[in-house]
Amino acid sequence: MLRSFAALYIDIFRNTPFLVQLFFFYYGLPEIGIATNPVVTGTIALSLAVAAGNAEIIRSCIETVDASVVQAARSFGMSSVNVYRLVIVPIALRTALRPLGSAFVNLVLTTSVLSTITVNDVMGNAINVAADTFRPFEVYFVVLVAYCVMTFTVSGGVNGAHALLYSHLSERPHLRG
Amino acid sequence: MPHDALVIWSGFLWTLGIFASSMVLGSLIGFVLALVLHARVPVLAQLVATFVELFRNSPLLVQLFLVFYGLPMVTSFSPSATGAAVLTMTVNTAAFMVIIVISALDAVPRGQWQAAGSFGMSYPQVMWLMVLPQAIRTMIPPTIVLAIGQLQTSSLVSIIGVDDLVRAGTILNTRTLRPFIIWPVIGLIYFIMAKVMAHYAARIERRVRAKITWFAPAA
Amino acid sequence: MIELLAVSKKYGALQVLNDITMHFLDGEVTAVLGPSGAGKSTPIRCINCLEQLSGGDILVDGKSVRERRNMREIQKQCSMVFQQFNLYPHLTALDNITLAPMHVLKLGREAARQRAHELLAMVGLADKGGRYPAELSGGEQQRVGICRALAMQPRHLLLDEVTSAIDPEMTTEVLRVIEKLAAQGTTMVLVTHEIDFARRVASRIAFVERGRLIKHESSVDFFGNQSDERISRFIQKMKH
Repeated sequence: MLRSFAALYIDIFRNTPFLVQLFFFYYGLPEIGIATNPVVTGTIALSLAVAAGNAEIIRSCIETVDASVVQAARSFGMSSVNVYRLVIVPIALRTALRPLGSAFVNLVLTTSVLSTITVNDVMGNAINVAADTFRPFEVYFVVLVAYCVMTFTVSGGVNGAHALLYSHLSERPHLRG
Repeated sequence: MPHDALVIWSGFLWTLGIFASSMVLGSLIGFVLALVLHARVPVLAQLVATFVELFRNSPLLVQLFLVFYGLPMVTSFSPSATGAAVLTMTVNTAAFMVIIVISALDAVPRGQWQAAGSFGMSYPQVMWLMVLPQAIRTMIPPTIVLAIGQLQTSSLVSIIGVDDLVRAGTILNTRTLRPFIIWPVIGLIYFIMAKVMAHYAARIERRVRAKITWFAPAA
Repeated sequence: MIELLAVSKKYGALQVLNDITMHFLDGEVTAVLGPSGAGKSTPIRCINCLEQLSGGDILVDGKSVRERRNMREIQKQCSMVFQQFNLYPHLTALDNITLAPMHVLKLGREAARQRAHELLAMVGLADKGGRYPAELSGGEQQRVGICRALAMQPRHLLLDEVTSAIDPEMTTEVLRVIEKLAAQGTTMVLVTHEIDFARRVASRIAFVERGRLIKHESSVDFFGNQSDERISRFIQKMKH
């Protein structure tokens, strides 16, 4: 039963626009008495959306773990908990590194949407600056490039982590046979 | 109430229109650009590569603002909100499409290029007769994923004033002050659109797979 | 001792094992031979509870595999070496070997590593402990697989076509290790299609065809005084 709730939550958050989710929280939370500033609301909305995406990624990575390897672990008498903890999860997370990195990049880009609820993130400030300077083209172009830089940094980090984890594979050609 | 439904309906049509047109145009343009990139046309390929990197590594919102608010200030080009929306989304879609196409092309085994080349076939011939039929099959699932994603991101055009579904939601929200009903309804409409798209896309994928299998039985 | 009592196994409509009864005594090396697809691997996968029986029972040292509560104990006593190696790709060879002893036998880290080093030395891989499976050849990976199984100090060793997935040049090293183990008196059930090797190493042969146990006799009788025509022909065919 917990599973179908999770599945539903993931399905909803992945198939509706983030903007709609954001507005739902921004306009809706005050109605039920939770009044916080836009940054908090934005963070909540973003966290929920990203969690759904990541859950999907990790789930599919868990499913692609080689079943025979898992079976081998079980055959030695390891408990389910240990098999999950020591075999399935480590393998799944290594596979998930790249997709999660990509999701993180997406996250950075999606933060710009928070500007629509008056959060002064990069985009929010850009709008203000553009309004003040009457130079929207220059401002937004610089911001565009700025996001690219942020993205490249994140990707670089992910690639670095990936290389670190799989460093042993680079030696392969010499040791085979 | 009936007026509200009309507002939503109108917004829905706008969203659908903007999404559909940008998806189709963007896919075609992206496909062509991908070929340019793959063929390594001297100057154009680099331009395409830069373009792709810029547009897939930045938020759509920034791109929208750049086109709608920025372009009119430095050029004589002053698109309407809708025009800017379609233009930006097309360009954005094209950038992601380039990636999808290139990956699909690369997924075709190198050996086939070599084999075809050894028979004296030219690049366009190999492309058209051998590589593309196989690549197209590989392209379909990621394109569907992209489409569903673009449907969601198209919601951002409301920010530059397009009367789409989200804008309808904002209008109704301001008027009726019932966010707990309005936003889930709007979300539901997007949800249904996404699911319907996924359903038909799966059908198309099955059909294409059946037709094209004889080209690449092992793949 | 492992006893198979009227064991049968079905996969849907397919009867893979049909009324098989036999025992494996302690200290014996038994080779299970037979044509491909005869259901050779299935009985040993049932022994360590990887597969469920459709009919009959298997008693491992008196404990029935049909009772869930016996599973842990049985699995501690029966270690398996797999055809496709199935090493944990994210762990080094050493860690592959120490994982189960540490978490199932509750062996301390130092003791487990010590045991692992000894085993690696025995199979000739003393310097390869820090390597990951992806860096090892097929023969090396399988030898690590054997160490992994032995690290549990099981009473019975189950070997499932352990040389099938390895290139011919590398099978020798694996077979040599198995020979050593046989000489040491480890109880082994060896599913294989290497007939010559079976002859050299096994004291008893079980011949399985189409899910049925055709012959279960001493190696001497099986190869020396074979009464069954079909089996004689099979032996000839498999001898290359």
